[in-house]
Amino acid sequence: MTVQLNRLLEHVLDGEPPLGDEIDAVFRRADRLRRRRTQALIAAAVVVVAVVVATGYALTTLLMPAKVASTPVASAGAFSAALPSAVADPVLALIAPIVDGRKMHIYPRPPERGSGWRQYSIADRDGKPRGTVEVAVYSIADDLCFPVLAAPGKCAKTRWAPAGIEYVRYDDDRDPDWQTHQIIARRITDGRTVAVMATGERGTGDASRAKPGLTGAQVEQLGTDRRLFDTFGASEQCFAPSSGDCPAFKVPVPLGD
Amino acid sequence: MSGDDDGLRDFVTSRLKHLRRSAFLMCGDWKLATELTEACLARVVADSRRGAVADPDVYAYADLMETCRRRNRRREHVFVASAGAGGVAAESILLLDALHKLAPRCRAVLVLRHWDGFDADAVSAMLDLDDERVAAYERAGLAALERLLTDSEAALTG
Repeated sequence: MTVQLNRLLEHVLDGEPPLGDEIDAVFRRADRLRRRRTQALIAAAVVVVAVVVATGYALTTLLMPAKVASTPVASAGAFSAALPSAVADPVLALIAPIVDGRKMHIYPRPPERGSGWRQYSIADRDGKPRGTVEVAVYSIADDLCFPVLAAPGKCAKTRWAPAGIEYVRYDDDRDPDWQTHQIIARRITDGRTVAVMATGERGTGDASRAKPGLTGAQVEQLGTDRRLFDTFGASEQCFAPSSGDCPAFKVPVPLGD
Repeated sequence: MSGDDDGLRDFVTSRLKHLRRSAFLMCGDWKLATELTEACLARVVADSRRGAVADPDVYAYADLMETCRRRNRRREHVFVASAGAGGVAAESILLLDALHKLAPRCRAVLVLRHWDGFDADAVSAMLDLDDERVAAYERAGLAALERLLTDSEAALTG
């Protein structure tokens, strides 16, 4: 049957039409096919890119919060979560290296600032509170009568620091519950005056915990640092002596009438 | 040959006539056979240019048979002589009619084995069948064809 079928099929093809330009037509079709495939590939790539972009946008929109939650501010009691001392605060930037050198942390203490004043909390390496540091700036054009701790109404003899800064340091540990190291310093060229006070923890009944986080020498170093005078804004100043919004210093800065 | 247009042109020139005849035996229409053959060879050329064709003969016949099989899924007993063709012998018409009464895959096995002369291995590769299936299709197809032809001749003479 095999040979017979082959012979039979030959006769079936008797009416075969002649070939025309089928060969060229094949190559024309091949070129069209390639173009269509290229276009389909590009279209598919565009669709894929669009899908990826849309998916990324949708995921970003869905997964990321619309509004970033406000940064929590360390509270006085949150000592274990104390922020690093090196933060973008010019006053703090001056104090932080001194505090860090004592293996402690310093961070803003709410209410942490006002016009002409700042206050900070100090914690030791275990996160236990070690009191506060308060800094205020005043503008005193006339000569200043630096108070005497033990003799109200008298003027203290001042000491001098470079850059025309006169100052008086006050160390007071008479009250075990309120031990302070304070300095009042005035730049005589423009009357700009700063007060810095370090205080230990109050109301603990523990004299060691009531010791200020900074020593008297460190407070003096800070208060006579000429950079401290310029860390506050030019228009910033406290107006009332240890009252109002400004910190209450152990030795108030006399502002005159 | 892949990607070489001269080689591809030689391949197309040498295979076009054979492929068109095989397509005609599969579909029974010279015009349709020409169309299917052109499309098949265009795919061979395009895929060869991008290096996707290992054996162009296997690729071409496999593609052509699959295309014809899809078009003839419904067994249509149609034979269309070419325009202007001379008289076609009654035996030829009977043979074509009998061939088209077979299932497309069975018909493809007979065409590839008995007209194109491929061995069973090549046919199994072209039609994606194992050797046993090819042999079974061939035996059954030849027997059915013989019976159909006998019946048709008996009808003609009777």
